[in-house]
Amino acid sequence: MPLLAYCITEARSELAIPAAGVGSMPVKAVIAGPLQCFVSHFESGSIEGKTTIRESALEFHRTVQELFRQVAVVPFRFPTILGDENEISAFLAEHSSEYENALLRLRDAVQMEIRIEEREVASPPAASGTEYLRQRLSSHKNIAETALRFQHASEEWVREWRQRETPSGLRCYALLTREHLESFLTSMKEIPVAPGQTARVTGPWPATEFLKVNK
Amino acid sequence: MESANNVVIVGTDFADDVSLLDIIDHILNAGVVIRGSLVVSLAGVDLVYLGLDVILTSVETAIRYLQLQPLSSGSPLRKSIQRRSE
Repeated sequence: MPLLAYCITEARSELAIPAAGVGSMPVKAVIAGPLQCFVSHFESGSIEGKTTIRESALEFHRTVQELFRQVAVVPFRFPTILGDENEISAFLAEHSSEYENALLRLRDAVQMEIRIEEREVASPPAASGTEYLRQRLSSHKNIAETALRFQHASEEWVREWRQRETPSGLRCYALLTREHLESFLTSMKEIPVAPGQTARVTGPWPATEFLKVNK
Repeated sequence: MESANNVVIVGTDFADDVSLLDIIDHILNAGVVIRGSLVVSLAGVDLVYLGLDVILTSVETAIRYLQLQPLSSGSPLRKSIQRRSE
């Protein structure tokens, strides 16, 4: 029977496994060497339909979060479906050292995200292409300055910072130790954001943006 | 939770459409991708993605609109948006 994969963790027996995952299916661990992968049985067609999809997505999220509250996890994208336990074991064996190293490095870490965007406001259109490009450049500069303020304000707690541009602004990723979460969030509330901008801080998430080491 | 300086802080526990958007964005876009391992009918999986895209679009559009013109929780438009995203 096909399996829906949730996440990978270090193989630790003391973890409390969520009782049920997507579709109320029991969650179980497939252990391969130093890693384990959490899965549940998946029935074809069981997560079709808009409402069911939303519920399934939230069940998937809750299952991963329940494990993430206890230990570092490498989540799979939803929905990742594999044929059987042999496929899971083969995948874990193939990527064993990659994920083992990542989980060790990120063992006590969480990822926070800050999405900085310009508010959509009804402004008169640019009179020319040059003016439009100037406006875009100015917007990029303002957003980058805001991101820098966030980075500086939180550098006491952040182990690593990464960011990338999106069509609507900038997405920043802060890697921090779990115990510093409250201090980080407190520091975020104090940061001034330029008029016309919004900043959305979300998390804690599994540290997926930091799985690979920056060279 | 929103502070006076336009900084919104959202947790990862599902509470409203805003955090639903963040959650769906994450579970679709962050994490391990296994290519070529899908064994269940591909049409079914495509439908899952299509469905999530529909949810994302409707919620995101709603959030953008609400940012421009905040609505009371009981307003007909907000109720309509909530119904569409269900």
